[in-house]
Amino acid sequence: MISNRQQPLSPRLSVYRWHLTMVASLAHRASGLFLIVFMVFYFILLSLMTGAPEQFDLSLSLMHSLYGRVLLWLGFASFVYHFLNGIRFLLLDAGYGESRYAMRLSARMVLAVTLLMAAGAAVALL
Amino acid sequence: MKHDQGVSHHGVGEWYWQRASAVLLMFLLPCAFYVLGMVYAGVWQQSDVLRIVQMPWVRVLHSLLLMALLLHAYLGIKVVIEDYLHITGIRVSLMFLITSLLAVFGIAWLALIWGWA
Repeated sequence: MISNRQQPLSPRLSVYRWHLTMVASLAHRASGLFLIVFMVFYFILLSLMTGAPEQFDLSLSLMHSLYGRVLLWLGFASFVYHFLNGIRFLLLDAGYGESRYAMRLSARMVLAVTLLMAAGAAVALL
Repeated sequence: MKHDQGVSHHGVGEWYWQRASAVLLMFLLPCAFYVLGMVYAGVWQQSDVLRIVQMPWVRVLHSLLLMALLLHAYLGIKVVIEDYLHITGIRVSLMFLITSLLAVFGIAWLALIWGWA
């Protein structure tokens, strides 16, 4: 194994000036990590929803509690962002929209739609 | 004799599977959020949920969704850990712990899917 402590390691958060496409990438990772937490919450809800009738009622009161609604909102917002930016990444991998201008524009579009959907969900949930 | 490449080029396979699972999740994960929304809003009763999750083809798609989700999560966590944790010992033990947790979680979920009477 080549060991060289001086080699640059990605991504150097402390080196680069913050820019939009970097925020889009970091937000993809952050939303992905949160979705893993949400997956555990979903599993609990699903087992309650399909359990005894009083467990179904418990799942409803869990979802409608303040913490439940905050979790649902965060989960939904993370999902919308990860979904849209995931499509953006797939299109970039396929070779579409790779110019600096297009990458910034698509990142802006993904963020705008996410904010809109998250605001809508906030009205419905909170 | 073929040149031994060691672990090089493993990343191509992981790159591919991360995207293959993403495409599957793009179609299946919205269904999971739809179920949650219907129950939250009180549109679906417990009998509706049970009727749907117990359909044979739903159980198959549900299992497929779960496997794509776990694979996608595993590869995603791995990339993040490889990027931010540079001490091999911590990296390997953390990945071992996370992989074990994901495996146990996956078995529990599969048991739930196929356990509904």
